[in-house]
Amino acid sequence: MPRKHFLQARPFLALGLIVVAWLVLPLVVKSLARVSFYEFQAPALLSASYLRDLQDYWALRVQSKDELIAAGRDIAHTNARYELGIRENEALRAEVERLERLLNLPVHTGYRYEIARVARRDFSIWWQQLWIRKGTNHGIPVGAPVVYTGGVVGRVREVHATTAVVDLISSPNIRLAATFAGDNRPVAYLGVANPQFANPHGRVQFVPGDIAASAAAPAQLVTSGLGGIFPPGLVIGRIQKLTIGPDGQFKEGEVILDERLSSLSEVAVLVPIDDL
Amino acid sequence: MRRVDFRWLVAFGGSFVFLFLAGQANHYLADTPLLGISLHVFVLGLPVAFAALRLSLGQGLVTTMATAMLAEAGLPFAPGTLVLPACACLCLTHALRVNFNRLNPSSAITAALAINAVLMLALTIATRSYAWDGAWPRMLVDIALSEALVAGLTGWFFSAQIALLGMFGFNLETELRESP
Repeated sequence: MPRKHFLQARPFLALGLIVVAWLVLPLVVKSLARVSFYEFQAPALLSASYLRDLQDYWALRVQSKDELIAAGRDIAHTNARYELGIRENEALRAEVERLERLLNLPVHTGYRYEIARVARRDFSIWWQQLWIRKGTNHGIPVGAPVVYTGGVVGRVREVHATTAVVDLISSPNIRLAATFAGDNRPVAYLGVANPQFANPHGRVQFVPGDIAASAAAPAQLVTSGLGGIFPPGLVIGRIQKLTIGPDGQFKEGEVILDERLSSLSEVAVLVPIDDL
Repeated sequence: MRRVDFRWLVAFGGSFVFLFLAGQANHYLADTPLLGISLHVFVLGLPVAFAALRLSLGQGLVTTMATAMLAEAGLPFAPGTLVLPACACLCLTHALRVNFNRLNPSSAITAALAINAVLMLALTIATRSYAWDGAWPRMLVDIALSEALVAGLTGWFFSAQIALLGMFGFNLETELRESP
C-alpha cells in the first residue's frame, strides 16, 4: 500500500522539486538557457526566411518583360522623387547644424539606418512581434527604434547573433511618450491586445482637454523624442475620436495604426551613431 | 551497465519540427491578404500531452521542459511562464493517466485540449491587464482556432512521434509495460 501511494504521489513530488529548483536557480542560468534555446532554433528560422525570398525570386522570374519594364519605370519615378527629397534633407541638415553652432545648442544624436528583412511575423493576442534577420553581428543594440516608410514599427527587445526580436508598436509591451503633430505637450501611447478583424491600433492617454480629433479632421500622433529611444517626429498613427478619461481631466482615445504594419517584409533599425 | 535512454531527445526533435511548422503557419496567418484578418494558433499543448500520455515521468518531464523552453525563447515573458505550467500539466496528466485508457484517441484529444487551454490561460494571466480592453472576441477566436487545430492534429502528431521513436529503435509498447 505505501508503495502504491508513493507511485501516485511521484509526479507531484517531481513537480515540487522542479518548482523549488526553478525558484532557486539563478536568473543568469535561466537567461543562458533561454538564449541557448533561441539560438538553437535561429538557423531554422533564417532558413525558412531565405527560402521564402528564393520563392519570391522565382515567382518574379516568371513575370513578363513588359511587367518588369513597367516596374522599372515606376522605380525610376520614385527614385527621382527621393533624390529631390535627399537634397532638401541635406540643405535642412546643414541649416540645423549652422543654427546649433550659432546658438551653442547640444548636438542631436545621429542614427545609422540598418535595413533588415523580416524573418517571421508573430501576432497573437498576447504579443505582436517581428523576428528580423540582423543582430549583434550587424551592430544592432537592444532598445533600438525600428521604422519603415509609414513611421514607427516598434522597438528591438532582444538581440541575438544573427537575429533580433522587435516588439511591434501595437504590442501590449509597448509604452512610450508621444506628442500630437504641431503640439509639444507629451501624452502616453500604449500598445493593446489587437482584434483580428480590424487594423492594428493602440491607445493614447493623458491628452490635454483642448486637443480635439474627429473622423473628418483626424489628429496625427508622433514620437516626442522624450525617453531618448525614438527620435522626435516619427509618425505613430492617427486619432479620430477622443473622450474624457476616468479622471475627468485628461482625454483618451484609440490610435489607428497603419495597416501595412501587419504585412511588413523589410524594416530599418535606427542604430545610434554613439553605439557604433 | 545501464544504457542511457535518449528517447526524450527524439521526442524533443519531433516537437521542435512541429513547433517550427506552427511558427511558419503563424507567419502567414499574421496577415491573410484575402481575408484581411490576423490569426494566431497556439499548439504547445500537443507535445506536452504526448509526453504525459506516452512517455515515462522522467522522460516526459525532460521532453516537456525542453519543448516549453524552446517555445518560450523569444517571447516577451519571464523565464518559466510556460515551462512551469507545462510541467504542472504533465505531472497532473501523468498522475491521472492510470484512471483512463491512455491509448484511446479520445483520451489523447481530451488531454491535449485541456493542456493547451491551461497553457493559453497562463499566457493570458502573464499579459498586462490594461491591454485586454475590447480584445476578448479575438481571444475567443484564437482559442477556438487553436483548440480545433489541436483536436484535428492529435492523431497525426501522436502517430508521427511514435513512428519517429520507432525509427530510432524505441518501442513505446515496452515503456507501457514498464510504467503504470
